[in-house]
Amino acid sequence: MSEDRLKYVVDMANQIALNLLHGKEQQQCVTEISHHINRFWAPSMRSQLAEAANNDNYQLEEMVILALKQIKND
Amino acid sequence: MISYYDPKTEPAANQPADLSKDLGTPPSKSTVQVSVQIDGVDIIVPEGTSVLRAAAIADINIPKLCASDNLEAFGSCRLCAVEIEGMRGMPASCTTPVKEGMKVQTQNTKIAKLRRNVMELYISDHPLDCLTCPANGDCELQDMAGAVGLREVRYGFEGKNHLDGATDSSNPYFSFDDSKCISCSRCVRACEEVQGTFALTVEGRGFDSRISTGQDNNFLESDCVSCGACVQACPTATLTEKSVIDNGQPDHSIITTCAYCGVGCSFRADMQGDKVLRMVPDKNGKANQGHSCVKGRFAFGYATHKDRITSPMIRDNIEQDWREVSWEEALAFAAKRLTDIQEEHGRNSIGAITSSRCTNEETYLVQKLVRAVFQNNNVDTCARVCHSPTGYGLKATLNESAGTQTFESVMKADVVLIIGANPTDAHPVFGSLLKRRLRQGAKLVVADPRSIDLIDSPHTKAQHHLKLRPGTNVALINALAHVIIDEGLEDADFISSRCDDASFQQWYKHIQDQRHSPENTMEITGVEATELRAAARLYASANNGAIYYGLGVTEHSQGSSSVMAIANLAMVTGNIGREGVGVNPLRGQNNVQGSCDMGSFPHELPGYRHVSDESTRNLFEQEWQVSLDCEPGLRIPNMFEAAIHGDFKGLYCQGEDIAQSDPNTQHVQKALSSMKCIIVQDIFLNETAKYAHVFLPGSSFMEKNGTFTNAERRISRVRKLMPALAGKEDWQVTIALAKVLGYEMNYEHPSEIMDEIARLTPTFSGVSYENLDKLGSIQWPCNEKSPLGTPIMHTEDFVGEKGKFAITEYVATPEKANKHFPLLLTTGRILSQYNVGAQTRRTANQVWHDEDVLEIHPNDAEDRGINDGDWVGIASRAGTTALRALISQRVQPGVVYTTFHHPLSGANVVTTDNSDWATNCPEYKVTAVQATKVDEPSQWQAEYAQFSQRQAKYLKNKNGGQIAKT
Ligand code: SF4
Ligand code: SF4
Ligand code: SF4
Ligand code: FES
Repeated sequence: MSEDRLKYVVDMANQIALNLLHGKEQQQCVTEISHHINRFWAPSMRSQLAEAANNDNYQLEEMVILALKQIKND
Repeated sequence: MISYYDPKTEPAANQPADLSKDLGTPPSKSTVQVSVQIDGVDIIVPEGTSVLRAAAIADINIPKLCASDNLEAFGSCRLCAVEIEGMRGMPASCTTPVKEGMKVQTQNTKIAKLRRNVMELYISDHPLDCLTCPANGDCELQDMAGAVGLREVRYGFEGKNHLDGATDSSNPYFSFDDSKCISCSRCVRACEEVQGTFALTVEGRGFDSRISTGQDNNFLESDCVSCGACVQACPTATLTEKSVIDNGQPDHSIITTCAYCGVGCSFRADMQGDKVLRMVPDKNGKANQGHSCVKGRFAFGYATHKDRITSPMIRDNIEQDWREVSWEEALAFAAKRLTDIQEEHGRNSIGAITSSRCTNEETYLVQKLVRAVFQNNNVDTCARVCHSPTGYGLKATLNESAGTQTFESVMKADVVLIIGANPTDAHPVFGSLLKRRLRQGAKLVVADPRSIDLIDSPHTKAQHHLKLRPGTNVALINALAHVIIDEGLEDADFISSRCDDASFQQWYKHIQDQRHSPENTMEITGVEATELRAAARLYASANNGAIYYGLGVTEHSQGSSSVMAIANLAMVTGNIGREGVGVNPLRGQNNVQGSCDMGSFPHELPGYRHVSDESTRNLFEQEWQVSLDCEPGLRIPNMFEAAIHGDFKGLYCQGEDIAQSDPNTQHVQKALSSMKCIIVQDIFLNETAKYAHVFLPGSSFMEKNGTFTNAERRISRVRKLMPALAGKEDWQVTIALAKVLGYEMNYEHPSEIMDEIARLTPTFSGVSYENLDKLGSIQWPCNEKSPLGTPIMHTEDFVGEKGKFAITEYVATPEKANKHFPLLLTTGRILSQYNVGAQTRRTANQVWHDEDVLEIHPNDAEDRGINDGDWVGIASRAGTTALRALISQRVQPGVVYTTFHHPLSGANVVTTDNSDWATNCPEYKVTAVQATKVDEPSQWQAEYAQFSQRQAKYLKNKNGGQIAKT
């Protein structure tokens, strides 16, 4: 998978997290991130995110890492 | 006694009001009824109604010349004189209000004589060329001469007169023939009261009084914005459309809807055979109430422009001549390519883009094609790049992805807050209505980095201009909310009864934090804390506070947060659920609302129901007889990304010009060049079509039936005025493509498509062409609960739920000015052009704006040695383009501004692929750039000009002798 491409989904996921993480408990924030990604992202993009999570070259926000378990990847 | 129904004040329960008849003066808003007797007929009308109007309501038609029911009475012509029992002389009925018990006589010998004398004076100073006059048959002066029985003119034409008055033909669409002017001032009043521009005055007094466009100006050089209100108001041939002068009077008319902006004005298309002679705004149109702007009124000639392509074309690759082929061959070619791609690259390797310029029925069919035939959810709409954050943000807070009001509602607003919108340019008819309300005394707050016209225009001034830095909307709106909470200005009753308590408590805790105070956000927004506090107080303490916003809110990396912050602001002040308030997204294109309603987003089926919802899917599966994908598809930017990386290979693009309108042009060009099959369906060979393999000729709004849904959720009919130039209407093309792909869609008429939409979509269940014809237009939801539609949303609840406050933290855009790119570029649009300009560039509107320019503050220009008109290179991290400079105080130092109406301007070569966190709506409004004086176009511009020349040659060679047209 091209690195550019993984960076694209990583940046998007991190941006979502940065916008959702304020004024809430961690669990609510994690749920909102995963809900958002499940609801709006095509499965191909979710798999790219999963792939990026296993690649040390990409830095996912902590909340995204926590949300990964709840993000569908099939 | 008969109580007469005044159509403007008392719409009958199940009937639309017919406002076509000119009742002479505007309706009275009084709720007190008075009874009068006119020519022996007893009439009850609201107190304050003029005698002229009361009589007209009872079909007693008093002659009139200077009066019209969209203008305040002026009383200058004296033709409407009547006798009133107990009153001396013969008062003008247009300026005399009815009184209880009044007895009026409109006809007797004395009155008739006076009226004949008045007419005689007018005619003695008027050319007697009725038979050759362009207004022959459509002239109130001529009608009134007939009505009063004028048989002779005793005064002759020898004396002083105006018969040698000059003609001003400077405006491309209408001319002003001074020799025919009767100085009734209807044009002046229309310009003031209806349009709000004040471009005309009456110069001189008495006999010498003449209509003037200001000092030594002609119409073109004056402040006139060519809205046409004066032309419509003129009772003579003085102000007449050039199309009527050239071609004569129309023989029939058809009511239809403007295909430009989201106001959705209703028009009467005046026709000669199947030729449109002129477009006249429809008085019965509820969105526009008889008003128009230059685009809808005059700029319709593109529909028959010589650049129209009316035959299908194909080619194997984009550096080949086009081949003009039959519909059958083009569709078979397209179908084979799409099928081959799916076989080789998988089901998800193709998709489609619908357009907000197309009808509801057309966009519905495109998403149906993708879901039922392509078997995926890769469908998106150009609303992605404008108002997708509105869909997201309003659904998350108010539980419905739509604006809450009618346009008319603004007439009850006491304070209007405009954020990131420029109504007088982008939504001009609404802009005029708003200006009327402001002249009545409503207060205005504008939040915009640039000084828009509304801030300081004749007789309207904004109380506060919050001149924020681009990209800081969320910080600004949060600060407004903070002040409201901090100063106890919230509407506690509304919050406790209508809003979700848990979300409010969480939001309250968040927003009261001092980091949101105006004093602390001043550093971010650049807006003075005292000014912001005053603006917040003004909005929060209004009886009715209304918020209007546009793309200056949505097209940011925090577009969705801004929309939610706006909804928070309306809820915390209780400004939702009645007239005069609300959250009002001003939609860019004519059918942005509709294309979203129709399920054009990749995660939603029609009616904003998620594709994962099994019961909704079942409904569509049964109707369409296919199984549907339960996972979201790709959005437009995701499609581009996938194309560049080799797994998105085929695109069906209907009515949308992504190559020009989407950000980071070079990235888009790379994506388009990577695909194996691009099918463009459009009326012109647009920029995207230069990358296409199949061109399917589209039909303009004049060539088809359908519906558009405007920013008020108002569904209006688009009616076919002429046969489709290419032989097929757009909806028929999609059906034909589906058929060659092996799927039958059986519709004989777009009304049947709407019937299917209504069957499957609860908010549309009461919508049908029959009902639209009966009611004129319908605002959804329209169903059993609201059979006549819903003008104001959320009057009792938020679609069965409580309103939810959303936490909206300001997160700075990564796009920051730095030493390489020290200026922030923001983009917008101009009155005379429309979006990518494909339509308006092919009209005489070019006279007002034939190139995009870069507005730059004098300080920034001086620092760079840039003078007005110099070529300026604009470089961002995405690319470089060059535009001519316009030195302007409208922009603040550090900010530059341009429009994107001309392809070679390359405004989007510079914009980046930053986008809204929730919806991927591009951040068009903030790009860090450097501006430098240059003397030649950018490399991109030079290369693109060459590419366009080659594409023009491929088009010219389209017949090539290879495949004959069948
Ligand atoms: S066209 Fe419109 S703006 Fe121009 S003078 Fe007439 S009313 Fe005024
Ligand atoms: S131009 Fe027409 S509307 Fe204006 S004063 Fe003359 S006759 Fe009346
Ligand atoms: S305001 Fe919009 S809808 Fe109305 S005429 Fe102008 S462009 Fe058309
Ligand atoms: S119509 Fe009443 S004075 Fe002209």
